[in-house]
Amino acid sequence: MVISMIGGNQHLTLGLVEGPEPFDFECPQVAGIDRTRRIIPHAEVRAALFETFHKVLDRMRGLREAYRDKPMAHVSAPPPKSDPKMLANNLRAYHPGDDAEVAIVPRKINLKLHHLQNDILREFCAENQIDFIDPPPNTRDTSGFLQRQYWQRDAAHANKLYGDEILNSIRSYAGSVANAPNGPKTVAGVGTGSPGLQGRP
Amino acid sequence: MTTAHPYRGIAAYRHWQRAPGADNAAELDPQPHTKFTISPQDSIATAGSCFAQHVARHLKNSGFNALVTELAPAILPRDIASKFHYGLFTARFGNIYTARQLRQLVERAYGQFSPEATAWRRGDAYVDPFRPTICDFVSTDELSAERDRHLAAVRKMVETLDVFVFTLGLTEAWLDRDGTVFPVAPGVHGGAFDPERYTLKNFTVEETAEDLRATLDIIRRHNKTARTVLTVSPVPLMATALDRHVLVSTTYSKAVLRVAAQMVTDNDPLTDYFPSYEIITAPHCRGEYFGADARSVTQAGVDHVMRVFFKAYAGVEPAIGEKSTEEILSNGVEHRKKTENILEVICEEDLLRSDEPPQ
Repeated sequence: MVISMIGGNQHLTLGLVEGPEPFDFECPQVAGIDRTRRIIPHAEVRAALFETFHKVLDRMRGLREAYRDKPMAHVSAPPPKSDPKMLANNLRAYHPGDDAEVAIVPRKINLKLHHLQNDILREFCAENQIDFIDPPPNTRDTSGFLQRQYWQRDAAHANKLYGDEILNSIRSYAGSVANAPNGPKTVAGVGTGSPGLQGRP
Repeated sequence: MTTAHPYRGIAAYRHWQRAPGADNAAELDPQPHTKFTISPQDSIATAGSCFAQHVARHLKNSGFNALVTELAPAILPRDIASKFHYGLFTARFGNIYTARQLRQLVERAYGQFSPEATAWRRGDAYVDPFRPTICDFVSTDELSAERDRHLAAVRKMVETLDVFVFTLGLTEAWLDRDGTVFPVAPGVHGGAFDPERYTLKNFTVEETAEDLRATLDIIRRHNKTARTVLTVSPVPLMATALDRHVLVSTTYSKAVLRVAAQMVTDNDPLTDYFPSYEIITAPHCRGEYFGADARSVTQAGVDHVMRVFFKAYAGVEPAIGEKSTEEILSNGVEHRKKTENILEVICEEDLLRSDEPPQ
């Protein structure tokens, strides 16, 4: 069995620090849009985000080819965090001597980008016979963000507790492929989680 | 003994044998004088058929001020932005093939025309019937908002341009029951063809000339000093909806466009005709400016057209040559790369290229 946790924080390249042109976009999974920002068509945001995925997808493709006969799943990155102040404080460490407030992309827009990232990955996985493991539902708050108890104190990562949830999801996935080696391998209803995973367990 | 007659002493360019070009096609210059000049500081707006994209690219790459009023989102890399039609023309019109399409565009921009058609389905997505290939939209709200932005960019173009270069492409078009004209037939790239609703229209010389005049009237209402250069695309039709050879439909279409352009430019000091069509199709060039498909215009042909254009209107012969991408603002890409470090971290007609003829 092959478990991919490659990549994960691509959504943050557009969804963490405000760029020169604040934007929002329509996302089927997240209601609401801020019309004070530039509204960019979903397809264009997707194309911009997709540009950050080439290496990730190449590596996943390589894994798939190297282990052609093995069940393979990719684990979603953790959902984004909802606290812009925490993120700003964390990012200030990357700008020593600069006391200016780091402008953080509104959290709902980051959440949209996270959904878009997973749409891109699900599509790729489906085309390459790779199963996709979503973040465990119990790790999200009611708005869809990562619950605070799973936060690593940085901008991108989840903590060990979240890692335990992911391991549970992987175990469930392993059980499903063991019981149905030739059948569908998706772990229905089991949350599984994700990495961004460079920082976690 | 010699006698006087109207052709004695005429300029060389008026005489087939004396005009340069027959022996050396590169010397062909069918624009010996113009009604006005264009400076590198002038804001030049471009619109039209596929061939007009070449004009826009060359303007930019030759140091002229190619006006762009509909800028790409900062997050889009340049090459991706051009696939969404940013920077191909002054605004994200897509290709404008007929004079009626151009007229209805500016009428829509100024609230003088509200078409019945607002969106076409394309699979799970929606497309803008007036520019169906620029982008797929996830909802009609998204499409509508983007169209509002686009029409604002058209108004800005009209009101800020110094020179408008429009390349006429076709006379055949599909009309909705309310008279709306589309760049491609419904069903080709979104929408569904309903023979009870949509009809083929092959515009005449008079209709084309009237549509051009009406367009220029609107532009001048908002921009009194706007200069216009009309050209005719030398690219043949990809397909004809009429039951006759596509070459015959091509010659009809180009003849109508050429005559209509002349009718509009005659007696109008602010509108000029530039012979792109003539340069590419001239016997002097012996067909060498067409590619292997006998339709695409070669780079050498485009370069010749633009060399004559710059010489005629600007008195310069800049080093020209197309680059692969447009100069579109994309500061956001640099921003994205910085963030990555912290974390460690584009011719609708080609739609008809298949065997399936237009409906």
